[in-house]
Amino acid sequence: MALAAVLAPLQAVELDLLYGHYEIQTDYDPEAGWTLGPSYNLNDDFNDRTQIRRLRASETRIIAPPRSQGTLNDSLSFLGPAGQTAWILPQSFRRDNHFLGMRVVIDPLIFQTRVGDNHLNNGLGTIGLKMVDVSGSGPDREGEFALWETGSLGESIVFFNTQDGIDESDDLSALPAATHSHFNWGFTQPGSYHVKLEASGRLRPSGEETSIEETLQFLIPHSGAINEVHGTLCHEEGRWALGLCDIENGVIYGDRRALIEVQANATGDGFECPCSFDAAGCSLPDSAGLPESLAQRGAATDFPGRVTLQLLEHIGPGEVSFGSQFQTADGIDSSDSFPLDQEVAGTLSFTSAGIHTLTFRASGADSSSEIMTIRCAAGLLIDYDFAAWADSYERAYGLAAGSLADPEGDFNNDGMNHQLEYFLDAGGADPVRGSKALVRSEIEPEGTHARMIFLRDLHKDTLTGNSPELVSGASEDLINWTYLNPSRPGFPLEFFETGAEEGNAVSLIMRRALRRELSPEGRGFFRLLSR
Amino acid sequence: MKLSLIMTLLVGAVASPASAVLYTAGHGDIGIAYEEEPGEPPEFFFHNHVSPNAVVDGVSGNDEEFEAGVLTIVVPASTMLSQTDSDLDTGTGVSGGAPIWVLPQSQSVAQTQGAPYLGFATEELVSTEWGMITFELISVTSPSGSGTFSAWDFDGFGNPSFHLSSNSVGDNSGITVPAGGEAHFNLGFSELGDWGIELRVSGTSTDPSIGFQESTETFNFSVVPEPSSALLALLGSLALIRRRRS
Repeated sequence: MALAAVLAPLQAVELDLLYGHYEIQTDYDPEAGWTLGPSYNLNDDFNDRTQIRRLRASETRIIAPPRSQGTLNDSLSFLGPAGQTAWILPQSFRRDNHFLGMRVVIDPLIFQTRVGDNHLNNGLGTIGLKMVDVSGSGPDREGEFALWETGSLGESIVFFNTQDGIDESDDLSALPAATHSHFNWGFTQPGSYHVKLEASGRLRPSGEETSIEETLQFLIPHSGAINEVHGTLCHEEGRWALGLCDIENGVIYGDRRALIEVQANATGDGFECPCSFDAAGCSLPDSAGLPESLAQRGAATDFPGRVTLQLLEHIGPGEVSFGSQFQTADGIDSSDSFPLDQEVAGTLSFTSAGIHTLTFRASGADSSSEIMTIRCAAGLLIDYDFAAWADSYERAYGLAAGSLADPEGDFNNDGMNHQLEYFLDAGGADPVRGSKALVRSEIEPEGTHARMIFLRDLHKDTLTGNSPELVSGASEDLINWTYLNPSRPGFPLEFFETGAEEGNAVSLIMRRALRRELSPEGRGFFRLLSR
Repeated sequence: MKLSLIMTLLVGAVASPASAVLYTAGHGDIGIAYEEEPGEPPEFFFHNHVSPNAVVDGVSGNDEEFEAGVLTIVVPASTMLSQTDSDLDTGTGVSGGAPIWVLPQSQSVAQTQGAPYLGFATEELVSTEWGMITFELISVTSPSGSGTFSAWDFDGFGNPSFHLSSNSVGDNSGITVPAGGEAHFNLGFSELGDWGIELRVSGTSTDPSIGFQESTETFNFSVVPEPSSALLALLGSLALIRRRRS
């Protein structure tokens, strides 16, 4: 297990929802007015309004989980052509996905009832819900959004759809005063989607119209897989970062949020990919795992002509080289360093298949960075399995074949079994040397909640809820533990695994935070484990 | 007011199923709770629950629970569809455009049809104390003895999943709902008449002293050739078996 005790304060971050049952809820109270945004029920009775917890739409990001991704068929042509990749949050409950409904909580007889184009002072009353705008980096890369219902025999009833433009037809009209229903929410490109909705109704008896606009935040993760290195050194107010730019897909990844898939070379005796480094920063639509302002500010801005990058370590089977800039075959020393006063481009080569972790340190004038990491998979894909992981580390450290093959084993007796180290590989788990700083725990500035921060690789655990899985848990006494997973998602404002990511986008390798209220004694413990 | 409504609806009453209480429209659930009766140890209580907007015996406005078998869930004629999707043939036991009566997964469709909007609810179980709750199909008593009952939904990409089907044992995985939740499905009946659907619910508590729990009950459905709003049952000594939620 990976265990963490509570240490120091952290800035609060927005709330991220990755799976579970939530509603987009519309409320109207004659005194308080409208509210529109995500909500959930604590427990027991869905009709008991005291059980409802409301979240702010502007502070809540709904992230599509891995299992939401699939391929469109002809029946969904309103969203995109058959064969196109899409992410769908379905109207039917699936443990490995969101179950996102629409809910209206309004007392009867407040609003007029819409029947066709007429509004009447009878019935329980209805409101309308329109889609008025969709923006964000997803739509900017021609991503489409639609909301529809699947009928009993599979027919689609479309309510919102951006592919044919946004107009009066994007209308979920005549919602009864108390209703709850589920829909399919579809997206066709990674990135952010800001879906602006307008709820409106006509008050009784005058017919006066009242409305509210609110914008829902959706994020479709980038895969984190790239096939060449375009590293850019960034620096802002003393903080360094080595961003990996995916120009084609318009995203820059922060430390450990991406993995370079390196293909076999033409001669078949190694693996290689194009590689370049600069200190110019990168202005792309999406930033996953580092702040946008940092991503855009190249280190050369602060240290013109004086920026260097040095390879400190290579963990992986065989050797790695990057032209004359660094080679590991002759050992790693100060000669494996190169200036970045201009772009350096060439080929990154590996002699052996497997998982390769390269660590660097940047420096400029009197400033130097923390350790920065680039991860590569030679001859593997980003979703490499446990067997490939074990084989790679066995060869990297010269261990006998099979030394790491048992998921329940613990080769270095550090308390983390191999399965857990596989899940946390992207975060820096090492089955032989042990792992440092995999998780950290902090008390939020308000002092009421604590959180554990860690990196979750959704290529390794796709959140099916099936074993083996990576679960996060908390305890007040180190004896009684409560764990969260897709079967027990917890409650966002009470005990919950939320996001802790920087930037306006996310990778499928994303930083997460298990968050819970502190006990009256101010004590709390967290842990990660595989089971 | 209540009496007035009942008397109005008595006009036009038609033959009703033999059991007494008719649930004809609005939101209700097949639900599970873990609770105790006075003098009894706590156990699973597998029951029907209807929301205030549900219509039971012609009236609405009550949030009530019923022991399984007391309530008859009425599937009105408005739910009849012509089944032409070959992907649904095996699971539903209906093909080639033959009629099937479907309680819909969609609330808006149920409202349009004037039909019950029936779900499977675990809301009364605390999510941090229970994991997934499973509903399994044990047996089906159909009017002809050879009818098919089924429950299905679709993933976001339009692919059907049959969770319960008396015609498809190999694709009869059961319905799983996390504790503290609720889920809706399309519930299909291949013929008119009275049905008994025997279900088993099970789940495991995180409290080792409670552990695995299960309960099996039969729920009654009646597929009728008339609009459900014309149906009404006798009002009898039902107070003993109706429980208002606290």
